[in-house]
Amino acid sequence: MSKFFKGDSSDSDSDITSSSDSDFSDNDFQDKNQTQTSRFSKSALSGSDDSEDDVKRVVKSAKDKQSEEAVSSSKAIKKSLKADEWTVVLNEFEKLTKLGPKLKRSDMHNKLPVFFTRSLVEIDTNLLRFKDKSASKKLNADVARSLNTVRQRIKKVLKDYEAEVKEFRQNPILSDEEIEEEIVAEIIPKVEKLSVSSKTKTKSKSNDDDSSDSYWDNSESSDESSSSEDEGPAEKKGISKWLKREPTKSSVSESKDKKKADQESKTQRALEKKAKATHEEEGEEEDDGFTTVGRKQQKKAVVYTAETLSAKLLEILESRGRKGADKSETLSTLYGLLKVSANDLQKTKVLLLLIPTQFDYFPSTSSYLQSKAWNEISGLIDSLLTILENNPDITVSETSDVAFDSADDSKYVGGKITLAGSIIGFLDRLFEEFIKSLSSLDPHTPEYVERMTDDVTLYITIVRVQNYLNKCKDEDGYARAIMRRVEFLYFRPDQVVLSVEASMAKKLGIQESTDPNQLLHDLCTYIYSHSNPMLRARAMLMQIYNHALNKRYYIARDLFLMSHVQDNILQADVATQILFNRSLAQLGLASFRLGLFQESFGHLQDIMSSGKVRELLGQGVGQQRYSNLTAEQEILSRHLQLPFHMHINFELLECVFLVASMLLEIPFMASTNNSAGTDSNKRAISKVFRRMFDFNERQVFIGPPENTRDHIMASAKSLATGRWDEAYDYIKMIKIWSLMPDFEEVMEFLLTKIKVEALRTYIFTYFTHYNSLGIKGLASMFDLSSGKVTSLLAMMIYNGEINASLDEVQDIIKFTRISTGASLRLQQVTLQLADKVSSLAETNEKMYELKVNGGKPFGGERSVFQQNSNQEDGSNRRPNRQPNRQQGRPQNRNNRTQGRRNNNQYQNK
Amino acid sequence: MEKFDLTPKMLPNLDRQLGFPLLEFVASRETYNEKDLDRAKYELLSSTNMVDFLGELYTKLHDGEEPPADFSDKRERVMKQLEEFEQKTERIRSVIEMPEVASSLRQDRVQNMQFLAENYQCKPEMVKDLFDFGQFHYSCGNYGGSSDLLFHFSVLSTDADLILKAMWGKLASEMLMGNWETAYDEAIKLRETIDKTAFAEQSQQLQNRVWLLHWSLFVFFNHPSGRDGILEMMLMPQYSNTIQNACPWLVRYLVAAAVVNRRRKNSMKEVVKIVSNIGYMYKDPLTEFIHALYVDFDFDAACVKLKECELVLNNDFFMAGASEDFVDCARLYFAEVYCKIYSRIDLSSLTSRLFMDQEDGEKWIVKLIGENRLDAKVNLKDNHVVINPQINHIPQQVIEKTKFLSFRSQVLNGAIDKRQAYLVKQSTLAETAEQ
Repeated sequence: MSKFFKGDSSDSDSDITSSSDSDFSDNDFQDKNQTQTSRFSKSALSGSDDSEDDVKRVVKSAKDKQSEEAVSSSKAIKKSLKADEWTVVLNEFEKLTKLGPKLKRSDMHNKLPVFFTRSLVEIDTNLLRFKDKSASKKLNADVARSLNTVRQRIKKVLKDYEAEVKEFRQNPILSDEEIEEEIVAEIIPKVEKLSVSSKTKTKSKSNDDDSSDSYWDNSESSDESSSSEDEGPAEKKGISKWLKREPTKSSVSESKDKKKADQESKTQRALEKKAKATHEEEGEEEDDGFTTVGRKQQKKAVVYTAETLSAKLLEILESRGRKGADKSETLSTLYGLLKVSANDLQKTKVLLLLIPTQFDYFPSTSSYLQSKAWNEISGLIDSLLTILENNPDITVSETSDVAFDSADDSKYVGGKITLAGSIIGFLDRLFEEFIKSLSSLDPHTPEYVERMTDDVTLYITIVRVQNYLNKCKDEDGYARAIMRRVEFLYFRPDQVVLSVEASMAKKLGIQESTDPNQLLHDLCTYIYSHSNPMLRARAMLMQIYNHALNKRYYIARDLFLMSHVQDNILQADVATQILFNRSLAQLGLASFRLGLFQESFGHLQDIMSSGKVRELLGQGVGQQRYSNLTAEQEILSRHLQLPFHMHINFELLECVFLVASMLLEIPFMASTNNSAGTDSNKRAISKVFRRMFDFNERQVFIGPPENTRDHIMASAKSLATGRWDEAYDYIKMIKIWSLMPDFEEVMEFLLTKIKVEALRTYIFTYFTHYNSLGIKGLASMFDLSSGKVTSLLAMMIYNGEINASLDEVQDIIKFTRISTGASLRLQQVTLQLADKVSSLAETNEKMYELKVNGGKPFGGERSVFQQNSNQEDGSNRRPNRQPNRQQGRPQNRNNRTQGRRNNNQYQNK
Repeated sequence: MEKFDLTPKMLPNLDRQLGFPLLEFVASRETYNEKDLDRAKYELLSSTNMVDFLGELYTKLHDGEEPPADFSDKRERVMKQLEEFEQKTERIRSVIEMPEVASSLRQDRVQNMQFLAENYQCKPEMVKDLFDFGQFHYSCGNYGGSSDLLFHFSVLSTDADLILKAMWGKLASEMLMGNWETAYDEAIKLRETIDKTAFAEQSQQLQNRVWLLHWSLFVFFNHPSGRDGILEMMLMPQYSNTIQNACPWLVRYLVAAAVVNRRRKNSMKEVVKIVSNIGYMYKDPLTEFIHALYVDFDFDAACVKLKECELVLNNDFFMAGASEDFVDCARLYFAEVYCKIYSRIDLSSLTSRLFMDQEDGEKWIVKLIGENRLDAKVNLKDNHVVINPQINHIPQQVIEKTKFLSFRSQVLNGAIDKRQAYLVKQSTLAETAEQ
């Protein structure tokens, strides 16, 4: 179970995370985070050129430790501010203020580090949000208390560092070179800084026009955006402070271009270097970015230009999955980039990064994508497909080794290029998210129905992806897309498939298929001939399900039997096993619809008598097992659940199974009661039914039937006495039949079958009372033609079920009297005894054979122990030679345990 | 009778030349339009090398027109090819025909090849030529030649794939020559080879089995012991599965063989099972007869179907000769089931059901009573047959069940005693050895 999921999730992960390289560097980064920082700061302080020293282990001074601590505190403040965790803020704030004077002292210029000041300013700014009481009321008591404490203390601290704060506020980052050097010490805060600045930018933009962007702001950082509206002027002032001065200093294009070229070459170099090197390079790069933000704010306006797009993308790609990286900021950056991208190649590049980022935005295990977000992504994938369809030169492949580079491709005019990415991966993810969201919604709410309407969109995307991959000659992806399509269609009846197909065809302007069976057949055939066995088995099961659903029972059954899918289903993963069970259940329903009750029973028996039908069908979890599971298992098992619209109606299934069992079990019970044959010790056909029936029999008072089971039990009772009309009426009253597609027809089958079984039951039950019965009488009694009655009786006689013969001349059935003076019961018991005795003799023989064959060969050395056991055995067996009838049974049992013990001894040896 | 004609279903699974007699037969029964049949025949054989015969057919088809010029071209080409092959294979043929060579050939193919190469300078390619030549002969309709050549090839060759093909060719040649004895052996050999060979694709094996089932019909219905053979083969699990999955129409022949073969009554049960299994795919009067008799116990329907069976069988290429036999045996089966169920039968109704006149019916019943050792009597006054029911008394059953118990236990006890004595002896021996 868990294996499947593990594999799954890792799969989707690797689809989306760009390359293992970046993964590696991520880890590396996190590991070395602390030491790296100090290294930078050290080198910064000493003012030496860094990169060579970098490798050596640096001994930290107390100074370094302090600044390190302060940096981490400031980081924590930053983070918790965003999450409104004021308790943490308070904690860190206290630490920071303690460190403040020390830091000041240690600094060469007797100045406060910038991050320190900034943290203060940030706290202050954030506090503004909670100016009015109503805002802080939303927080819980603890947090609110901390908030107040912070508010009080910050005033004091701000007063202490008034000068610095003021300076900072006027010009957030000092242009002083040395300070800038120092800033290198705080890589992380800076990255954040950068993104903050970009974010504020988008935010301001979104305020004027863009609606799609504003959604992101809303959903993710709702507090912030709302705050910007709430507090109005104060905040705006803060922002405008950051923004306003840019236009005055116009872009210094030449020097900047140079700088950019420089940066690009650096990036190139960095790519060639391995994970270790990426850090410092990044540091420099961030450094650059930072300078721009700080010194010339106008850079922000040009950040999203077609020329810088590639570099930006690379940056984002590298920061992905990192702890510090803020997903929402990355997203808005990407949206911005998408807007400015100059050509299709760039657009594709941005989309390829944007889509996985969107997916990653929500944690994958716990929650699901909201409908809005899902549609957003679906739209993105659609636009990606449109671009790709229009530009056959641009292809996307999972195996492409063309990594994102920072080369400027805004001048792209054409030519073949293959980008790394996985369209089918996106589709898989989209599909799974859709299913997941449906599984987590309550099926009885309007939301569920609303969500369901998106499935046509999904289908259109699937078909588009399929067509696109077919054009790309991506066989694996094509097969997977087809698989998704089959998965989408298989549980739908033909009419629904037709309507989905029609709306898809209308949208895409392609020929719709008019024969759903053929469509599914074609799709599956492709998978059979091209895919791996795992997909093949799944496709097979889905096709079987679909055939059965649409009443093509024989085709479905033959496919089921010929595929030998049941031979190795136990080795398959849980999801496939569930699919197998579903197909089997559907087969049972299909055969019932055709009036093949025996087959129906056979198909359903295993599932229905297991006692955990819901789990087996993936339609819910049984109560008693729920408590034993750990939280993790619970989540997993919930994942296996299918959304409601795919369910097979459990009540109908149970009803079908019980009715089929009744039709088999009741005549069988009657025949065993009164026959002298060896049948009498045969076990029940359907234990589930037998248990229910016996329980019902034991009841003293039985009210009129209410639910499905009651009806069937009442019907069974009538059937047992041969009253077929009553039995049929009870069955007919069951309400759940209305869910059966062709219920009228089924009822006809049922009526005939009930008559036949009633006749059989009647004969079995009452033949001891009759010498002979007229066929005509029987025929009128059971409303059957006399020919039918004759052939039924003939069948029973021929198969040896009753001792009787027909008389053609008088048109009667004559029961053969076996009167030997003894009662029937005695004869039955005697016969049983004879059976048991002979089976006892057989067991003895078998055991002897086992000793000879299973023990050591005759001539070899034998241990005393074994000899003893043999002797013991021999003496035990002796009484059995002349079987004593009264003791037959217990002896048997005794002997068997003896045998088992002996076997154990052999095994122990 | 077109409805029950299997020719269209059989033809795709037969060799062109094997299909020809089928078409001839169908033509003689006038089930189809003669013109259509002639065209079918022509198309069937058009890719073979039987040029002269094709020419005749062409003339017939086009109302006396002379066959087009390319016929004579083709004829010449064929003759030239024949000569070429003659030359090419002359050496190896002469070698093989030498008596000392034949006597020194062994079971091991590789060794044989080596032997030939060393002593007679035969190359493997020459053996392949044998195959090609055999195929050519077959295509020309010269079955004797092809049979010989293919036999030699299959002895000498080391290529399993081609050997299988050669065996098919040999089987076809023997069948077309009417050598049923050899063909029977060939068919069995082929069956063993197919079962043994590990085919790359399972469907290939299935296809081979389907072919074999079709081809061997020729053999089984012409060879004296064929009726046993067909039953045996068709009831083998792998072949009965093949029939049920790939060619349900062959059940007709299975039913026919089972009914005709009175000696193997036990196989009837299995046949009934197969018939009811494939009921949703294939039906004809024969299977319906079996179904009516053994599943529905609807005797009236069974009689109607029996009448239809006669018609169907008369129009069937393989069974045409056996139709009377079939009806006789079917009646016996009918009577057997009927007598097991009824204790008193109206003689006249039974005979009319089985389409016999009164007197024949009476004789038949009497004969039946004698043969089957039926415990029954004919009551001539009322014209009834009274059958004494066989009652299985319970005490009788108990006696039967317990009859051998004491003997079995004694044997067991004896074995234990013997072994124990042996063990004791062993241990005392061991003790003395220790001492």
